[in-house]
Amino acid sequence: MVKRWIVASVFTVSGILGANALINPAGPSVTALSVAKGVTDPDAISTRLISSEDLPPEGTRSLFDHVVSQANGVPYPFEKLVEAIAKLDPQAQAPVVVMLPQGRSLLKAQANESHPRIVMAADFQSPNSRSTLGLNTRGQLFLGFVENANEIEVLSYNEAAGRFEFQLVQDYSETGARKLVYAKRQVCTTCHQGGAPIFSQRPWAETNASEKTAEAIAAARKAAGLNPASYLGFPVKVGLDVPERLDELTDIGNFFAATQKLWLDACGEGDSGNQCRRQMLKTAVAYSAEPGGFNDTLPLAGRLRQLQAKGMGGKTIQVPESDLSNRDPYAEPEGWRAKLSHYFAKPAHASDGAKSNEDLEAFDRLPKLPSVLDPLTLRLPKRTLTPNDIDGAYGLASLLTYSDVESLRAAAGGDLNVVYHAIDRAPASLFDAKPFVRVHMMQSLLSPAVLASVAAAPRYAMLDTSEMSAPVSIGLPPLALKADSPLNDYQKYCFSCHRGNPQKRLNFMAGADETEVLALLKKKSEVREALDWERYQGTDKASKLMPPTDSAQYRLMTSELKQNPQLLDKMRAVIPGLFDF
Amino acid sequence: MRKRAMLGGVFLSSAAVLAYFAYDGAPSAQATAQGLIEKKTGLVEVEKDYWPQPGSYAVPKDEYGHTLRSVALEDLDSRGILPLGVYKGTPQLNANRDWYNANFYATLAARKVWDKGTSPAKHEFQGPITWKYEPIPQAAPPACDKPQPTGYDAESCRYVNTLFKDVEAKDPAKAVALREQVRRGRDVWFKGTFGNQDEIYMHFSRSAGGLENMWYPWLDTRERKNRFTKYGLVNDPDCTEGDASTYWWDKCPDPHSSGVLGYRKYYADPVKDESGKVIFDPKTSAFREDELKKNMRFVVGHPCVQCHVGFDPTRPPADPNNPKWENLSGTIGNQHIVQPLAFFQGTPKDSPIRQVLAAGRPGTIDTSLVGNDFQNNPGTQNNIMDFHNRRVFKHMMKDPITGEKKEGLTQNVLKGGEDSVGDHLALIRVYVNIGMCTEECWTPNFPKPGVFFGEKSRQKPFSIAQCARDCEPWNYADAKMQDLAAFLVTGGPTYLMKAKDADGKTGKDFVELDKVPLGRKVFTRECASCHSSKVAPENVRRDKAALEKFYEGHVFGSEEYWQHEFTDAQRSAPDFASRFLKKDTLGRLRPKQFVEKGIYGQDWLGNDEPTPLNIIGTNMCRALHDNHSTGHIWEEFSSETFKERASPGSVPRTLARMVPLLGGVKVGEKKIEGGPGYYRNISLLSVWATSPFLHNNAIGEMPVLKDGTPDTKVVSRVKAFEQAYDELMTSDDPKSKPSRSPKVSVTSVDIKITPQEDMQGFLKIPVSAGTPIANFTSMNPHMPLFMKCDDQVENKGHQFGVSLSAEEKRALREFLKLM
Repeated sequence: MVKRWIVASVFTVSGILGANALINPAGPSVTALSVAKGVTDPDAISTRLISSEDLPPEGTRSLFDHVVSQANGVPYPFEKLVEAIAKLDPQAQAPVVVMLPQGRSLLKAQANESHPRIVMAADFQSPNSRSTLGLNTRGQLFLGFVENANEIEVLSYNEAAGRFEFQLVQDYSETGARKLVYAKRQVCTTCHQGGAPIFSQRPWAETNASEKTAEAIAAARKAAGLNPASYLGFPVKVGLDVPERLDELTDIGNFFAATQKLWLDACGEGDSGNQCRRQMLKTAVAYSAEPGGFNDTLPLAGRLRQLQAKGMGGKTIQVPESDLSNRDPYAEPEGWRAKLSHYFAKPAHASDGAKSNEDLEAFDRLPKLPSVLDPLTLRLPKRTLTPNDIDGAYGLASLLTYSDVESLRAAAGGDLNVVYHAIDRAPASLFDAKPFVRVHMMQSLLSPAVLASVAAAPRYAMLDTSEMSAPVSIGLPPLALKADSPLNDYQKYCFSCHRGNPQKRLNFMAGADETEVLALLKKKSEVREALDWERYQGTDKASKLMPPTDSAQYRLMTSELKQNPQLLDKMRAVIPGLFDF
Repeated sequence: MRKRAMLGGVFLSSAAVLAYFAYDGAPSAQATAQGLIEKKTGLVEVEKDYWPQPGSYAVPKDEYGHTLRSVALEDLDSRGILPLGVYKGTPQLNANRDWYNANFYATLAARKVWDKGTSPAKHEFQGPITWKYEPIPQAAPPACDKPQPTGYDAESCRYVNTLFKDVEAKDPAKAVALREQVRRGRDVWFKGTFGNQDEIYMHFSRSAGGLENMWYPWLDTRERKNRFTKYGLVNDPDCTEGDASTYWWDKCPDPHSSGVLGYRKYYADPVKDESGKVIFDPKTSAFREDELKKNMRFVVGHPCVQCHVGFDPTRPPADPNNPKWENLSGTIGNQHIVQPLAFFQGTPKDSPIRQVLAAGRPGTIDTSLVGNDFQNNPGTQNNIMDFHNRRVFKHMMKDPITGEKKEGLTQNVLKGGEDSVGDHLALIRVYVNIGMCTEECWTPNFPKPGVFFGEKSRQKPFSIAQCARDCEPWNYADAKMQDLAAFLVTGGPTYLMKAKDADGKTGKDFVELDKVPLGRKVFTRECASCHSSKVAPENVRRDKAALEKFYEGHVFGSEEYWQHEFTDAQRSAPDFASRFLKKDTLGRLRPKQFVEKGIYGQDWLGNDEPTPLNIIGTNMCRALHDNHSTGHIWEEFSSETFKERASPGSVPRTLARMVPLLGGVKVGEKKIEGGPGYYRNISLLSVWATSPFLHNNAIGEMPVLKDGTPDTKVVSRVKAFEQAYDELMTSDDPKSKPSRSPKVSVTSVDIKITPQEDMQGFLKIPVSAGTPIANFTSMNPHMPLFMKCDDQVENKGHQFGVSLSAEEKRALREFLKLM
């Protein structure tokens, strides 16, 4: 009898070993996918009009660029960056933050229990005033920070271009370059298949809302002599409501991308497309004004369906799937069965792996996840929309803020028909086949030419790029400086803030090569003043001295000055003085 | 075979008892247009003096505690909610529809008439059909303007007289016709058994260790005073405890009432000796001590109310073993019975089937158990409330008779959204599931126990066309489903605010009304995206902030209590009235939704949509139920749309837990395909009255008195609701503090099982007390290497709202009490 069981067990184990590879297929290679041809409909208007380049279309920038530009660069440390985002919220609510020690991102091998990946999302809408439009961050701004990799992955909406931008803050450390670059879009969209945010489904076992995960983080941090209750100022244990909201925000963002497709592709081009977009906006306003009372069988919606039928022909529009299957990295039960199961399950991590987003081959060398859990696996669409679906209007309603609709209603004296007439009267160019831009639309509708009760169109601060430096692509080689370059000290103490800063006026150390940077620097005579510590310390101009006294660069420089008292003079000498003639 | 001697004895002959009725005109051989279908004529004769107490019961006029809805099928038709499904009846039914209608009451029950030389004892599993059916005729009740022959009938009249008063004011004759249809439907619900009594003795006995184990100790009238206490059974209020003169059965004015609602008694076939001489005539023979155990006097069929009748939560009985009609609701479901354990109370305590069924929680039944899906998944009886407000969905369906595929409407009837071919087939399938046509249409399609390979190791689809041809009770039932639907749509919610306890306390005493508005706000953000029939756009449903806006001003509960859902400040806000209220024709300012839509404006508190099992996170075995998939037994009862549902993902593939040493090891993933993998959302109407929660009643516990009697008082229901709610709102993560204590049903004694579903065969595997029931019930004995479903914990999942603050949780609880 015993012998029979042994034979049976051996047979079973052999069968399992053989079958495991077949029944537990691994996900695809990111390297291969990153150069694969996309599956986007090449004939779609949205494909043509919504850029798929790495850099944003000229004159447009990501929301993150605008946020950090207002903060005069990417704040450091991460807590300050989060604080800068929170400050934009009139309610000053903390953003939504979770931790993932064993995640699935490109940098997954660099995160661990003591230093998990942080994922953060903004979640607020600022109200409009009579003169300004409020900011909408809901579903539009996401950060992923892996401290061990010194890198922040940024996904934020580009209002004017109608797409999400993928960015990285590289070398994000106390004294690092903190270089803000646009990532390779095709690499990002291997997982972010809709060009939009993604997140796991319930119960989000990877996150610190799971007791096991939070416990693992706390234990690892305690063992490392770190604070077991918090990391980077965020609690190590959160409730399920936190990843739930993050999940919602990624879905909201995902639908923005789909909405742009609907705005363009469901309506089409020409007069009919123009009319269709007007109708879609009117339907969106009707919905937003009274969401619960909106009747989708009203003529307003019926007309939209007719126009969409014309615009779409026989085509359908797919909403990409933004949800990944839940993965529990700590799922294996305890005991000897766990050991056996572990033998069949490949480990999720190895000591190597991508150390930056440019290191795809290293990522591919990591053990693969099962395909059902791998974000690289091509996901089926979440929904397929037909002309009968008026979800484009609901998507526009979500791009507008609650305050937008109130502003329109107020300007129309409470009569929505007046708003509809305003939409009819608004310039045709607003409804041509190009991405929907909430701000442009609101500014146009809330202008005296369209709604007579309005004195002047409201301003908006987060769209103007005239004061921003040029966007930078990933992969540009680092600035090569000669050993005796006069820029070496500048690189050490100044580049973090003044090279790659999205704020043009602060980006005066940009430039492709040493000569170019030096030329730019020489034009900045105020740098001489900012480095003149001897003259201004203790005066009312001390605050203008550089580096700022609360920075790591200041501490470094102070220390260096003890060894090299001529440092500041040497640096100042690079820039011609007023009397250098 | 070996234990069927008694079965043979009981069923040896049935011809003799048929003498007491005859057709008015014998069925002719006149062919119909179909050529082979016999045209039926005449009326089935019903026994004279059928009612022992005609005219004894006056029709009461008392108001109901629970809500009834004056909804007619034609109203639903005019609103585009009907017709559901594309099925138009079988050729047999369509050829004789008039006859079935004319013989409505005569065809509520039926019996097998065995061919000469055949008998139940000789019938093998999946053997040929060697019998025909005859009706067991019952008398139609008198009209409701007359005194009634039973309290049940008087109650029927009370019920229907409450309905259609608005129609009556304009067209009295129409109101009468509508009420008569509802009454017929109610009679089907309470009395329709359609020959299903044989399933117990023929099929159930196969896995119960033999016919001698198939008897009902609780039918003994001396158990009447304990029936609810011990078995959760509801006594027929019309009956009283019997005596020797009634053969120790209850004394009832309805000749077919067993004394227990949901169990109809019919004379058994006479017992004959080998020479053919009748040795026990159920109608005339003297009492025998062993007659109950041997089912000699009566056999028992079971209509829908075996599971669906329960106590009206708003009018609990003073003595639940002795209820009155006004204490009962035919649609809320019996929340206190473990069905179908009632059938197996005669089996030994260590009978595997008894152990398995006892693991179901009160108020649940594993309807897939007989259908052999090999997944342990007891589920609650559905509350039947406000079906007129339940959403309908367009599905592609295949007509089971013509094979034509076309679009039709359906509701997602079963817990995974199965039975998605309209109400008609959904209703009639349940009759098959409870024993109608078992041997003719059902078991022939089951896998053969002990077979591991080939066609016989798998289910085959049930064929409606074959069933209508080979099993006449299908047509008896089929002809009545429209009337049954007419009754079911009149079922409404039960509101706590209308409840009265025996001690005079009212439901209002149990609700903290001041907390309701906050609870409503929480509900809009946390719950309404699933638990409201007012459905937000898809993208809005994934945004709590947008949901709160969407449901602004919407009334979720009854119009009667709508003010409680809002604060004074909300109601007095300048634009509240203009946005959300409207004057009706009488000039009263009421919530717009009710002024514009009447009772159709009431929220059903569920969107009836399927949600992937991993999102809900509850025990997965019910969602993995696959009897409705292509090639499976109920293939014809699910739509093409159902079968093409997107895969909700994968579940771990687990080695069978009964495999020594290796059992439970997870080996990769198994993709869910072909329709299963979802739970459809439920309605929260009357949720205060229907705890425990979840599809398996595993969250919360049924309240019981010290003597073990289920406690049906209002106060106890409310306490049970609160306790279940607290458990629901607690994390299921064992590492969390506090967390739900995992509930896993286990065997209560040592048992021996066999690797066959009928528990026959030589290999006896010992299973010690404390073994999870799912370990051996959630594996397919025809494919025994892996678990079919591996999920032991029954009260996990549904983690929505567990992170809410204590204040929010409490407010939500109070809000729900108002629903």
